[in-house]
Amino acid sequence: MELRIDRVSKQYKNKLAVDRVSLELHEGVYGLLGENGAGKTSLIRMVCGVLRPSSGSISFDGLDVGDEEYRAVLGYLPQDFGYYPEFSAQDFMYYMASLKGLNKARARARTRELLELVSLSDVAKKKIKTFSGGMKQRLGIAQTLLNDPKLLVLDEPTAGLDPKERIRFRNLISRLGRDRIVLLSTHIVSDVEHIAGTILLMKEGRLLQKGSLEEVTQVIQGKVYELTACAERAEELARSYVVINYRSEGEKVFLRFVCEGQPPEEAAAAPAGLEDLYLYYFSEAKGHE
Amino acid sequence: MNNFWTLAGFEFKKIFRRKTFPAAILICLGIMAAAVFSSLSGGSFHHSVGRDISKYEAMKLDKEVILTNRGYITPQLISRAILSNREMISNKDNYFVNEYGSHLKEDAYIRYILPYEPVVELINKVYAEDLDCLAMDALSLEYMGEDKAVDRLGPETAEDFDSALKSFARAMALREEGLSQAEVEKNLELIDSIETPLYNDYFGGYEAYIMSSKSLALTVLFLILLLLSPVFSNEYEEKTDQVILCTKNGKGSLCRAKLFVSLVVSLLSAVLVMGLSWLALLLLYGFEGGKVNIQVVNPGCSYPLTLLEACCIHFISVVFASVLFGAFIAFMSARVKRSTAPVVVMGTLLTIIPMFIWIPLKSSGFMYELLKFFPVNSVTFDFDRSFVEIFGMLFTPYKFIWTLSAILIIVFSLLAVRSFKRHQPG
Repeated sequence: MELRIDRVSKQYKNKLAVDRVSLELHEGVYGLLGENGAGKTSLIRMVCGVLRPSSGSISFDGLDVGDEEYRAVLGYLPQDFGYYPEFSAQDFMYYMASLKGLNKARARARTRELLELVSLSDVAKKKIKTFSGGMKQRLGIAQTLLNDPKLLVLDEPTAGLDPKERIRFRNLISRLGRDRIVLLSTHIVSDVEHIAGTILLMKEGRLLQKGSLEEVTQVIQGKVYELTACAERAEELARSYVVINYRSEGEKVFLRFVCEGQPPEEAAAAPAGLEDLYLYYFSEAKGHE
Repeated sequence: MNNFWTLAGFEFKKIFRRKTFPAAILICLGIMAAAVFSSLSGGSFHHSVGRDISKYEAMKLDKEVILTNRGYITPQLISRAILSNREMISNKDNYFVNEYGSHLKEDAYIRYILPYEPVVELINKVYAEDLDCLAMDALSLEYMGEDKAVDRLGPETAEDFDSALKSFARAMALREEGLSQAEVEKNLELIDSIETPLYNDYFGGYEAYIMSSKSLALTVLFLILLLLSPVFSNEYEEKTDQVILCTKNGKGSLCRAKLFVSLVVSLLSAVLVMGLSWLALLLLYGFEGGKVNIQVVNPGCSYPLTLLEACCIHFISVVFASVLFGAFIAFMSARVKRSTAPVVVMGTLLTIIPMFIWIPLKSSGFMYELLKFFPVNSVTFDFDRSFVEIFGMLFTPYKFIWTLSAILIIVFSLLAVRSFKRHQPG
């Protein structure tokens, strides 16, 4: 199982949204991280065939992204998409099932199974317009799984979910990644940290890093420090370094920051995490690439 | 078929569940009811004058009188009509005089003219001395002059009525400006094939259908516009495009299903609105009149048709225009970037603007024919004398429009599918 993205670019009128990205993805969960406008959604849409690349090619096990067979193995949850408000959850699932080529019997079975999985069985016959944002998101996740996709692309899948549901879905995605390719784009760094076997970092349309959590955080290992100081000193340090955490503790302030040069004397080195790396790359004060 | 029928079912569901659907249907039913009942309430029925009866009752009494002379317009019938008119005008008691002049009494009209009404009107047109006094009104040719031929003709005129009728039709064809020699000859050929004697019957139902056909056809076009504008664009507007376009059938069966539903909705809109209105009018006025020659209403018409045939041709023209309009709206809906509003605006302009454009045949034959392709013109009840000339061959306009409409329906359908497949979410 291989998703091959070969020198893919997307040029809008005045903006190069994706710049010659090349990737080979195999079974597992891939976490795509990047700030707004980094080109994540454009890349994801191209992988899903809803956006044509300006150049380059995308294929899954030799199937071109434009092929019907490619779309048959794909499950996609867009970041911001609409539902048919007058449809019930069940109608919507049946509709998506027919779009995905499932026959009626299988559509019914999968709908029942998946609505159960996302805890929407009780409201299966209610109109979607009565659903909360979280319920719609759960319905969105359910529809991606209808065709048991080999390639699952999720753009902000846990947005709008409460912490308990988020953890449940995180675990579900992790399980799904055992025998398929899951490409997950999110702003929630901890989601990626917990479930992504491989992390992809995008900035200004280009792929900055690709690797396991240990590999990608290697760049800033030994550069993350923590200290507790008075408020005045903490403010002074905050102006000089990329601050990852600023927490008031009574009279004192706890600081966690990235420092590339000589750290302040009172600071102690701390193991680097993905959030540290994210801020290291995407902090407005820095321009690391 | 990759779930084609299931997807088509869902597309129908989407249309039926839109908030605009019940509103559009109610408006449409209102217009249909208005068209049917206004033809009755607005009609001028001779028995309604001075009598305390409803318009419907008056229409039935008028019809009863007219039906006494149903059948072929033979020389005997024409003679009787002329003699009856002569008897009427010779008796001054049949008239009342006021400051505006002498006026025929309604009872006299009912007694002497109404039984022969279509025949008398036909005589006045066929033997009109001044052809400039003739004016077209929907299908019928109206005589607007003061001098009535029936007043000056004798019963012996009846013998050569059929040849006079054809001479009149030929004269009308020859005086039409802008026709080519080939078109004139084609008209003369058609006139020669008109079977005489003409057949007459009460045709109130057909007349009412012809009179309301344009407003009904416009209703069909606006119904199609309201129902089909969002067929593709709603997916862009509601941001469902991303989810459906990446599915197995999203760029194949779904496109075909949407298009199929668009064409079926257009077809059903035309058939139901026009068909039900026609049926309602025939139920109200009676089913008589189908066998009446079109020349009874318009003796200048070159086509050898009965009213039933003419109405069927018009009905088919409305169906073709509606399906073509539906295919065009589907194409526009697939073509827009995001919103449905431009589709509605464009569809409305396309329907309304050509109503205000008129290019005479004598100015430009090409532009005259081109204008007929706009839906609002192709649904007009029209059997004029121009023909479409291609490579020296003459084609009957309505047959040509049907053929070209069928081709354009295919073209717009293919373009709609292409546009939807190539759509990229914004």
